[in-house]
Amino acid sequence: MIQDVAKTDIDLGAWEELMKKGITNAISGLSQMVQKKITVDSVLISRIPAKEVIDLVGGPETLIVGIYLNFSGAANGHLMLAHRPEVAYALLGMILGEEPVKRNDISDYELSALSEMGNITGSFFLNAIADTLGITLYPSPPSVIIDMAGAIMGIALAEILQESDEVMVVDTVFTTDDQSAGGRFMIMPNESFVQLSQHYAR
Amino acid sequence: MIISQQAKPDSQAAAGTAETKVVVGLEEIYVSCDPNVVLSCLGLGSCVAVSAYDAVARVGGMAHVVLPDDGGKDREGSPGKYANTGIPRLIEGMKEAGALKSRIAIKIAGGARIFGNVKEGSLLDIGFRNLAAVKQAISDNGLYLKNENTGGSHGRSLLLYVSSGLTMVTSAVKGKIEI
Repeated sequence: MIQDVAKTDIDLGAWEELMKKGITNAISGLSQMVQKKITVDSVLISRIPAKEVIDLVGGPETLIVGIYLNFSGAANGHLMLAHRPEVAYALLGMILGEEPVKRNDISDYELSALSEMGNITGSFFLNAIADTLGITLYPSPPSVIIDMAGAIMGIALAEILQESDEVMVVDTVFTTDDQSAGGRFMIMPNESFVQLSQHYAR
Repeated sequence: MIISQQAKPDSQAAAGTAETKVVVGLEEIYVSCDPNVVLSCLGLGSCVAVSAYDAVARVGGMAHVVLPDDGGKDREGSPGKYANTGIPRLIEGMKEAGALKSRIAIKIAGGARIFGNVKEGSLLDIGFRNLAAVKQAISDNGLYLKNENTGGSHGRSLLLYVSSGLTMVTSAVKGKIEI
């Protein structure tokens, strides 16, 4: 389901098609990792002011677990899995086969499991894009951070704001079929990536 | 750039008090002489919040700086985005609201390096570059930097109470402190 509220003259049909391919593959990777069927609840593709991007995850002071990576190569951009802490623990429980316990700290072992979640989701997404466009994309190692949403997203937003006043964001909300965990997968491409899709997709 | 003399009706008022919290978003500059207003920059990572206060005129202002330098372009668009354009604009706004430049005390917060895999002081360390640019702009504009809570690797929020000049920093890891 695409809720398209784009405000530009760029052919978003091509971009949307490309993103859907990537997201489908990314969610399938994540689903294999947590061994659960995952449903995509909504995909928002939109160009909005930076402030509104942070509002998507609940506002700048909302505590989130962010699994962040960026990518370079033929195109640049930022990928992030953003979860409320309790959701991150639920996902960890699925990966590590443990009962989720509500708490505020996170062990190195759990951090590395969350990193791996970023690796899988990110590389499945980028592979689908790179294969479709016939280009090469290199993901960075993921960073896992528990902090205010504004602080975590600030870096990606700052980089995008260097070249543009608004931010193209692709925001996917998903839940596991048993409703035990949900989260969001956000793609924030640099402007060059959106332009690139115009030449290849379709 | 928003200059407010009175509380904005659309801002969120705390229950039971006349306090009006105004959130200064990314790239925004806000100046107020309304004693009920609390200016705030929330969830600062690499961004730097610059607060300015004239204790005599009781005028407060805040800028949410995202990037160090506009490189000579985009000055018209959003001056608050960059340190080198945001700080002069903030001071202009303060003066328009009745502040005297010589009485303005500056406090800053933010400029963290959130991602551990970014080399300290490198081109990718935007927090570090933002801080350097903000301090440069403070000195270039002949302003007085009274206090700061900057750097590190955690997110923060900065609050300025226009009535008293009280400036607080809150963070998820270090609680609430006055600066």
